[in-house]
Amino acid sequence: MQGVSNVSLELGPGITGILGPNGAGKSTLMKLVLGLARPSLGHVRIDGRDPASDWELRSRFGFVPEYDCFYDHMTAREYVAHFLQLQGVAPNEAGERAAALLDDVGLGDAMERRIRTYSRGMRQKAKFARAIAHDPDLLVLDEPFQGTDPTTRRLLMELIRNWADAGRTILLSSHILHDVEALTDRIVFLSGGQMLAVGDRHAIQELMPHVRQKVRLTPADAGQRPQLARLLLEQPSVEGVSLQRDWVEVDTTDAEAFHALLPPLLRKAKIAIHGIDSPGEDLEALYEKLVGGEQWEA
Amino acid sequence: MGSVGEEVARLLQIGRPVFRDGVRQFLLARSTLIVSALLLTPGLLSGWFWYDSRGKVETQVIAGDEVRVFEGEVLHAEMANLFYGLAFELYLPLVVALVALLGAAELLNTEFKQKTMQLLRTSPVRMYEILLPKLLAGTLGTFVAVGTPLTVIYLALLAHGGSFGLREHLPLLGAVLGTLLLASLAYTSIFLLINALVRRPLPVSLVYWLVWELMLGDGDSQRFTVIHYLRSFALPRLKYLDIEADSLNLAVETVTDFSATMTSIATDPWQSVGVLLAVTALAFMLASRLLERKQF
Repeated sequence: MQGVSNVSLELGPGITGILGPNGAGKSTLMKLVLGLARPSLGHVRIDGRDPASDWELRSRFGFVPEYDCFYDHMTAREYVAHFLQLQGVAPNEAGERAAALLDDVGLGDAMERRIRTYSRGMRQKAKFARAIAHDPDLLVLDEPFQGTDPTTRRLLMELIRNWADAGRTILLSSHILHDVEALTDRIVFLSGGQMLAVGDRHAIQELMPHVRQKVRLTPADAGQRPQLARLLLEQPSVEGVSLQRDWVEVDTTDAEAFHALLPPLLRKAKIAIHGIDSPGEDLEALYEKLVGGEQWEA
Repeated sequence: MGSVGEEVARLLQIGRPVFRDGVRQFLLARSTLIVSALLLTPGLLSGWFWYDSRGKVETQVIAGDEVRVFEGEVLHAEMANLFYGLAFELYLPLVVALVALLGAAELLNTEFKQKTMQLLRTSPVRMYEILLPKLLAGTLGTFVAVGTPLTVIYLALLAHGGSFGLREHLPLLGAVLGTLLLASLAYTSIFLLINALVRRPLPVSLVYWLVWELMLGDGDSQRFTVIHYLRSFALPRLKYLDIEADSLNLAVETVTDFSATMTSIATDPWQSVGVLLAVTALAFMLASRLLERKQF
């Protein structure tokens, strides 16, 4: 198990994505939140209560683990109803609610089949149904899309968005950037058990002062490109400039300072800009930079 | 925490599905079915005896009851002795612990293997609310898996002795089933504790059974074993068959200057029940505590 350290995080309603490569400590962090593991230093609190010792608090948790966790001899309906009964729901009502939920996630026709005969996607749906059956406030989803086909993935994403819209707190881990990016802007980057950054992609950029970033400036008049390049090269926050056919590409290690100086600079030089964008600012690029440790370089 | 009544109601509600599923899981497990089928094989002795003694058994009717005699021996007494030997020398010391061991692994270790324990730990239940129905399911499962073949064997063997023997030796069957129930409870709790304690419970359970229970099961040291208290519970119920402490390994040799005599070290039967229940409660509480604190 990968340990985690220096993780300080507050979760509120909505989706928070935990991103990191395999072995980053994502599952450990989730187990800490759920009370399945206890921190040796620090604490985890859910509404001020300790999830490791407060068993009643667990009625508010819904958990979809990364791994399979089924009773092989049970059908999906028995499985969901079994856990509903542990939530204090009467047997008949548990059976009815389980059937309705399984129908909602697209397992209506297969709910009386033993789970061991299910495909990977069907198993994932059964896990989701079990996790939400008791209407929890906090949903912890560990690699929820692993092994699912595109249709199942779309369905599960829609369900997650609906739960978030209903005001639930959702903690979702993935090592697939696209999955997290598609669901939320609030991202926690983990690697080697360390929290490298937290926030949306822009906030994360600000947390990385030493990461080299590219900014692309497209002048309205392409003939002004050499003048713009010379001007930018004189600025201390600019590491390098390259002249392209329609734009000027700037390398900077202090994006915030660069963006602050840009408007007065352009006004003074009377250069009109058609567009500014950061080609390397997508989540994939940030992820690679963070996990590669580039932000720690002086 | 609610009142005692509320706690009991909650325990029943939470425990019912766990117990029902546990019994089903236990009794339908391949290992249970195989062992139970093997346990029935001594019943074949009855068929062999019937074949071997055909035409040689005399039937006498005494006060409306049939008594059968074979080569001058009253058959029901012979069969009762045979059943006693099977029950107290083979099934109770050896088989019950083995079945309870397999059952406890099926009930608890599979929760770890299938990783459903983590789902239970994220459910709003205390571990004793899960463990108690499992203990009861394991006890019932072991009792049914061993008790059913034993009852069948009793009926098959004693049927040869005639209707008198079937009724006459019901106390023997009662002693066997009573001892079996206590054994099922005590062994299941101990094996559940081992399953909660270690990641690979099978070797540890086997060591406990083979080294502790069987090797310490003779002499003075047997007071530290479950089997001693099981035999002590059964002893007074077997007096009518002239079974003494010595026959049940409940006696130690006392040597004086001129002779050696066997002295009973049997514990009072109700004290034995008390010790077995205390062992069960202790193992149960320790296992619950361990599961509650287990980290994943």
